Amino acid sequence: MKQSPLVQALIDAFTCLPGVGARSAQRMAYHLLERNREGGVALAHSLEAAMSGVEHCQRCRNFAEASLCPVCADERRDHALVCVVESPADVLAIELSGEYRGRYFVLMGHLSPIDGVGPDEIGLDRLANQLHDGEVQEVILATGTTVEGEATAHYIHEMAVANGAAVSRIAQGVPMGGELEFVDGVTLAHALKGRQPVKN
Amino acid sequence: MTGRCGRWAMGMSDARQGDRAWVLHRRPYRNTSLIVEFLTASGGRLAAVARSGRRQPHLQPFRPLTVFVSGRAELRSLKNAEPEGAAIPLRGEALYCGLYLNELLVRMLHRDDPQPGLAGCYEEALQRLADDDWPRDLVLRQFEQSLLQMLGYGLSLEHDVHGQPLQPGQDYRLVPDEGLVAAANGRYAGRDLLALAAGDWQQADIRRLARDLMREALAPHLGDRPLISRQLFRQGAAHKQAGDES
Ligand SMILES: [Zn+2]
Repeated sequence: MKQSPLVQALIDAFTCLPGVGARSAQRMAYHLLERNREGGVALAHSLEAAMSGVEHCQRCRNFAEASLCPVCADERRDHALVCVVESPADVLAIELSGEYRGRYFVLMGHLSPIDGVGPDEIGLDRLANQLHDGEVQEVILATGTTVEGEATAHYIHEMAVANGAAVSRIAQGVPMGGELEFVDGVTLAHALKGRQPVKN
Repeated sequence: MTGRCGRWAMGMSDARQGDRAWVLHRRPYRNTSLIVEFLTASGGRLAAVARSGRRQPHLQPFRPLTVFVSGRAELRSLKNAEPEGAAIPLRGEALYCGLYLNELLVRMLHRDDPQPGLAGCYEEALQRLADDDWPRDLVLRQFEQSLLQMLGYGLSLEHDVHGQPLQPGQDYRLVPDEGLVAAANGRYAGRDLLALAAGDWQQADIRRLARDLMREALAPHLGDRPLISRQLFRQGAAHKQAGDES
């Protein structure tokens, strides 16, 4: 079936979204054209504004509209304490916990040699400078528990130790409120290995 | 083939017949799926789509699996992957070494080219990397040498390309994929090559020579891009040095 060129262009454009194939793209395009033109225009404006206005924070690499993101610009936070995470979504999750008063360093990925992602590709040259300048005194490693996440954590650990910074890794294991029988074997093995003495 | 791999059936596996396998690499595919590169005992390197693969935490490198794969080459799908015991505990530099082996294999192996014995060698190398009694560079060099051998690029350390025994007083250079050639001011001293052939791993300079020699022998098969995992070692060593100095 032949679409009019503008409709076809819109469908093609939607397929750039993750997990969206030709069929879903078509559904989205028809939906906006038929039922929600206003929403479509608002989406177009937001996309345009974000794509040209959002950059990376110069200190932590998270998304930012100014040279510093809101967390890095917040003077009440402890800027010598840095939690290293893989993605902006991780920052959001930790912020929602409400427990953390330091800042972040966002790798936007993890070390993955086969994909061509080495230390510089995830901004570790910049983190190295911050460690070297004494700007960072303590590092909390919150990278993923995958093999690549562990390799990334080890690399940053070495970097931090070489610069005299303190390092810790967030605890990993059984989720709160989770029942043991539903926890997968890998997680359980890790939780057992990382068991801690019970304090009275 | 004897040993560990012997009990795994040869020939291309179908969905009913499991194959011992190791994850070399994963990349996201669609919403929750993965395309996984495996090194399998009987099928060599192969790629398969793992539906909902991101929810299967055992689809990780360095973990022995039995995989059940169906479909033709280029469009295989993973029916099931069963863990066969715990992941090999690689930590720190040993983990970099494991990533190096995986990068090497993905660069060097063609898909669906069975390499009998290679998965066994790989497993042995991983076990040794996890064992602090094995010098890691020795494990890597032995694996590199076996890999070249299996791919048909074996390198003799006892004879030159003309079949003449190496002479201690002679210098040699490497002609990749062919072998060592006597050359005045060649990069490798016959004496050192013979020491290496005799398994003399005590001296640091012999180990360096082994590293350089294997690197030169591997280079033509790795393409233009540098191996990223090598950067990890180099920079890791630099961090350590900086730490020792401070
Ligand atoms: Zn920031």
